[in-house]
Amino acid sequence: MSEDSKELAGAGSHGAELHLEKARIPADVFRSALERFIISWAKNMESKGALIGHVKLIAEVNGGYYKLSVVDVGLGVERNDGLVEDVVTGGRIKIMAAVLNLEDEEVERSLDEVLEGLTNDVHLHKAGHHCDHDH
Amino acid sequence: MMIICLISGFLGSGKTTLMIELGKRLGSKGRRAAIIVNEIGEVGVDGALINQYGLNSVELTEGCICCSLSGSLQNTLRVVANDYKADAVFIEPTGIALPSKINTIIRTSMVEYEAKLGICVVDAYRAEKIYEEAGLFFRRQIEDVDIVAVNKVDLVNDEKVATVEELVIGLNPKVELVRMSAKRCEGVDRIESILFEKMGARE
Repeated sequence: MSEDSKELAGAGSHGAELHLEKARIPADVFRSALERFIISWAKNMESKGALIGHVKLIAEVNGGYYKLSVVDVGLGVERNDGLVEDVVTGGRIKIMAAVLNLEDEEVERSLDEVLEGLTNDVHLHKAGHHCDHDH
Repeated sequence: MMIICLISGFLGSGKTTLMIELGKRLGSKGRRAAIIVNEIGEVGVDGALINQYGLNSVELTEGCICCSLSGSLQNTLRVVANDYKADAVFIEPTGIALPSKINTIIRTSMVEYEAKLGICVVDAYRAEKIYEEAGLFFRRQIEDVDIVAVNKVDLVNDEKVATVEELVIGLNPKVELVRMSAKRCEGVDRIESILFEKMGARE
């Protein structure tokens, strides 16, 4: 099993977990912010020469979920909407991308470049980072 | 004894959508399905979605079960076979896994199973582009499977589907082709009936 399929495919990937605490975000605003973010990330990687494999996220918030997926920027965002409340107050969001033609580090850098927009929109923070202020 | 169903295919081809649909159908007919899902990155997204549908899943992350996580797959298969008593175990590898390597891992896992079904999901919308960019890889994903499910046929015209099918058959003439839109649950019946034939054969 010495052959590494990731290497063989020329693939790169990166994922992160984001936490949302003490928030009060209307569900529609939350949906829009996540959709803007995921398409921005896909476009950003494409602009660096990536062939998108899969860019996806799942928000598990307030007992419900919202899953988004992009496999081709031309096709846009695919949604799977299981949000159960009108206001999002807390939970976690898992995000990941796997693409061809970029290294893991390049995928991570691309995420960092677009993540600021999302964190500004819905006051998220990455797992491991704790902030004391109210969001 | 259980059957093993390997659902492979390139990133974003629709493997999870198909697997959830098959898992739900098995459940509705009183069969127990267990799911082993593998994500290439350190963060798993699909496992969380599968759990939302009330299906039983084990998520293996941070590597590919066809190479770096081959031992984890064998251990997980043993646990599922011994503890869960599933009628069918679905294995969804990463979108860059090679089915032939996973078949070898399953064969050497010391897990007893009645039958194995290998399905490769191909995205009709993107197949030619992926073949152009990663031809060798595309070919190896088509090899060593029983069925190629040409998915997302709702996004393309018949001519495009026929071109993709021709490409697939050119790479693996022995494979059975199924046209499908997993999202719309179209074409899944054929795969479901093959699964039940495999399970029925042991009764």
